[in-house]
Amino acid sequence: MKWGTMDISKYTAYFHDGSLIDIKNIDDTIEISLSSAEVDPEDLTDDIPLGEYDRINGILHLEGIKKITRNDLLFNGILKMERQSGEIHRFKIRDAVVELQIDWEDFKPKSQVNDFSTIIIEAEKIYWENKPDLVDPYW
Amino acid sequence: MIEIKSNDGYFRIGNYLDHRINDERHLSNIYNLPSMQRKKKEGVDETLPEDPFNDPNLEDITHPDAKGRGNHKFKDKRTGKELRFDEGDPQETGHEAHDHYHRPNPNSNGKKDYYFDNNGNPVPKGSDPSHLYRPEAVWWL
Repeated sequence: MKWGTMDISKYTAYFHDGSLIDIKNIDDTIEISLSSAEVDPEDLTDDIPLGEYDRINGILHLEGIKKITRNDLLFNGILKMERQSGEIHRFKIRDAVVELQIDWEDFKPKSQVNDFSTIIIEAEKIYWENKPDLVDPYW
Repeated sequence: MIEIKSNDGYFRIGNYLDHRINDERHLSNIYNLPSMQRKKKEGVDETLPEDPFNDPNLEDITHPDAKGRGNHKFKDKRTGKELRFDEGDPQETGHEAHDHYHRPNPNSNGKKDYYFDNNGNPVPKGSDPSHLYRPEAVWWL
């Protein structure tokens, strides 16, 4: 495991009601910045430095993208933020497949948004880079 | 009774309904997994609907793409305020495992005051007090 990385798959339940902060595309790699919901440090079984407000913050790296579906349809475009931020309803990693269910939202200016996406990404390699100092501009 | 098959047979953990919390903690210890079965001090709200899907005061405004995903939004016809209902997934842990509600703050300026707690005070998104439960739903806490 790389320095600064950890097995995030056993902590994905903490991301329910957390935030999708950003999505970046670099060649056939996607980087997804995520912040968990509030975590009680006593629950953690690993030494994970938490960010502000007791959140697990970091970047999910997906290398060698094989397939993306959005709302059960094959997606061939560039995956990007559909709104300013996203509330995570579900985050799951199984083998090399990531599922994110996102309730999109706008903050500046605040507006009533009712958009929801289920994004499933299959990649050759997935790893988590813990970044406690990750900034969420909408706090 | 939970049974886990190991390489050399089965070993019993205990009665699931009576000892679910202890079992989950025990399993967490065995597999070095996070338990998330912590005590909840706040968030109980007896004014929450027992059955939001059949409450005549609530209009279901769930996005079509969220249907069947356990993520529901309702609008209170009397107040115009939104109420969110997240269906629990028993395969998961913590709040995600249990049915709960959220009351969005329509005047929030960001994520710090995004929801209301059970006393109507603004609280941050993802915070423990932002997860609201009916009294009978907190047996697990």
